[in-house]
Amino acid sequence: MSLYLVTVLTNICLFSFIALSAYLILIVGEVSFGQQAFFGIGAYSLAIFYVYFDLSIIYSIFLGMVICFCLGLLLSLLTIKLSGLYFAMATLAFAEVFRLSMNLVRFPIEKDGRATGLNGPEGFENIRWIFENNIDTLGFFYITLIILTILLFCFFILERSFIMKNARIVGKDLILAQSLGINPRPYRLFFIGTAGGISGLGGALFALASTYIEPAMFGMMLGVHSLAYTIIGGLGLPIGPLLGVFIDIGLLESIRFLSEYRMIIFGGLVAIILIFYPEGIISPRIASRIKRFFFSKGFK
Amino acid sequence: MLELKSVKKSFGGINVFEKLTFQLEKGERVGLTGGNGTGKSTLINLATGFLLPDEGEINFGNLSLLNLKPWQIAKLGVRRNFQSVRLSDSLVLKDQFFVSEQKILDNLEMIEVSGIKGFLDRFPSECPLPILRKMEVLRALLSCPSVLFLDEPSAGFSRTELNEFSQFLIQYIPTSTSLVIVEHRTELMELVCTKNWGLFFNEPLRII
Repeated sequence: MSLYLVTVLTNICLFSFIALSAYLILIVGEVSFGQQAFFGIGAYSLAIFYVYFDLSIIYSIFLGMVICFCLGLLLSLLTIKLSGLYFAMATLAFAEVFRLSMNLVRFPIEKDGRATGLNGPEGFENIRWIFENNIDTLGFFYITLIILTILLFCFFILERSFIMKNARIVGKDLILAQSLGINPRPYRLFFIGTAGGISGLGGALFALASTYIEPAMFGMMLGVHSLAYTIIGGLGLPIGPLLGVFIDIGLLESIRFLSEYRMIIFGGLVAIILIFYPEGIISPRIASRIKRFFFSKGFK
Repeated sequence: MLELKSVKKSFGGINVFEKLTFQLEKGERVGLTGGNGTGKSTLINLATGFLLPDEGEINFGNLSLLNLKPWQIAKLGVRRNFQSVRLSDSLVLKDQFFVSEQKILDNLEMIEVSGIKGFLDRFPSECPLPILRKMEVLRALLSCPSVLFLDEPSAGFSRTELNEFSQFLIQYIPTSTSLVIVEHRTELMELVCTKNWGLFFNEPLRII
C-alpha cells in the first residue's frame, strides 16, 4: 500500500470514532454540536498524561476516555431539561468553552531537549509516542483499525440488545416510550456519556497520529461534519456513519483535484443524498428490511 | 382500584372537568362515551400521567399517581393505547411488542387468534388500520396490565371486524384486568362492557 493511501485510511478510522459518537446521540433523539470538544479533550488528556505525568500510553488513552465519559455524563445531567435546538445550543457552547480555554492555557516544558506542553494557540507539540516506539504509518493504521473493529463489535452486541431497541424508541417517540414503561433518562445519560468516551478515544488516537494538536483543530466544523456523516450514512446500523466518513474523507478530501472543492462538493452531495435517502443511506427502515430478508419469518 | 377524585382540568380557561369523580374496580369492564371535547381522551391522559390535573386526586390502590411519571405509571400496570396509532414506522410489527421473547412465545395463540399473524413481518405502513389498532391492543395486553385504557380501539373497523374484535377482547382480557373503552360509537362497548358511562359538558359522569 502506498503511504498516501495508508494515511487516508488512518484518517477514515480516526474520524469514524467521532461519527460513531454523533450516531449514539442521534439515536436517543438529540443533536449535539459538541462532539468535537470530546475529541479534543481526549487528545489533550492523552497529551497531558503522556507528556507531563509520563504515564504509559494505555493508561493515558484510558484516562482520556474516562474523563470524556464523565464529562459527557455531566453535560447530559446539566442539560437534562433541554432538548432539540436548546440541547444543540448547550453542546455548542460547551465545545466553544473548551476550545477557547485551550487557547489561554500555557504551560510549556522541555523534554529530552524538545519544546512541548500546553502552549495556547500554538498548540501542543512533540507527542512523540509513535517515534519513541518506532511505529510506522502502516503500524499505526493497524492499531486504529483494530481498536475500531473492537468498538464496532461492541456496537454490534449493543445493537442486538434491548438497550438499543429501547433507546431508539426513546429517540423516536418519547410519548410511546413512556407509555411502554421505559424511563427515558438513563438511556439519555448512558448514550451521551458513552458518546463522549468514544469521541475521546478517537481524539487520543488522533493526537498520537498527528503528534501535534492545537485548539483550532477542534472547531465547530469538525462537529458539524460528524453530524453530517451520520445523517447521510443513516441511523440504521453503525456502518452508516462509517459510510459517511468514507464518502467525505475517502473520496473528497483524498482525491487531489477534488480536495480544493471539498466543502462545495460535500455540501451538495449531502443535499442530493438527503433528497433520495431522507433518513440516510442505511436508514432504520432499511436496517429492518435487511433483517427481515435474512432472518426467518414469524417467531422461531 | 383506580380512582379519580373531584378532578379539575382546564385548558386555556375552558373547563373540561369541573369536579370529575370516576372509580374503577378490579376486573371491571367499562365503556366511556361522549361528544367531541367532553374530555374522553383527557381522562385517559390524566389517569396515565400524561397530563396533570389542576385540582383533585388520582389514586391507584393506596398510591397517589400525582407525583409519578407516565413511565412509572405504565410500569405499575396502568396501560393505554393511542387514538392516533403510535407504532415505529421503521420496525416490523413483531419487533414492536416490547416484551421478552418468552412472553411472546407463551402468548402465540393469542397473537394468532387476533388475526395479525400474517402481518408480523410487515412495516406499519404496509398494514391496514384495523391491524395496527389490534397490534396496539396486543402490545398492551402482553404486558399483563392491571388497568387497560383503550382510546378509540375500533375506529375504522367494519361491522364484522368489530364483532371479531369484541370476541377477541372478551376471550383474552384477563378477568383481573380492568378495562376502559373510550369511543364515540357504542357498538363495541355494548358487546364487551358491563357498564357504560357518558361524559357531558360540565356534568358528572352518568350511566347511559
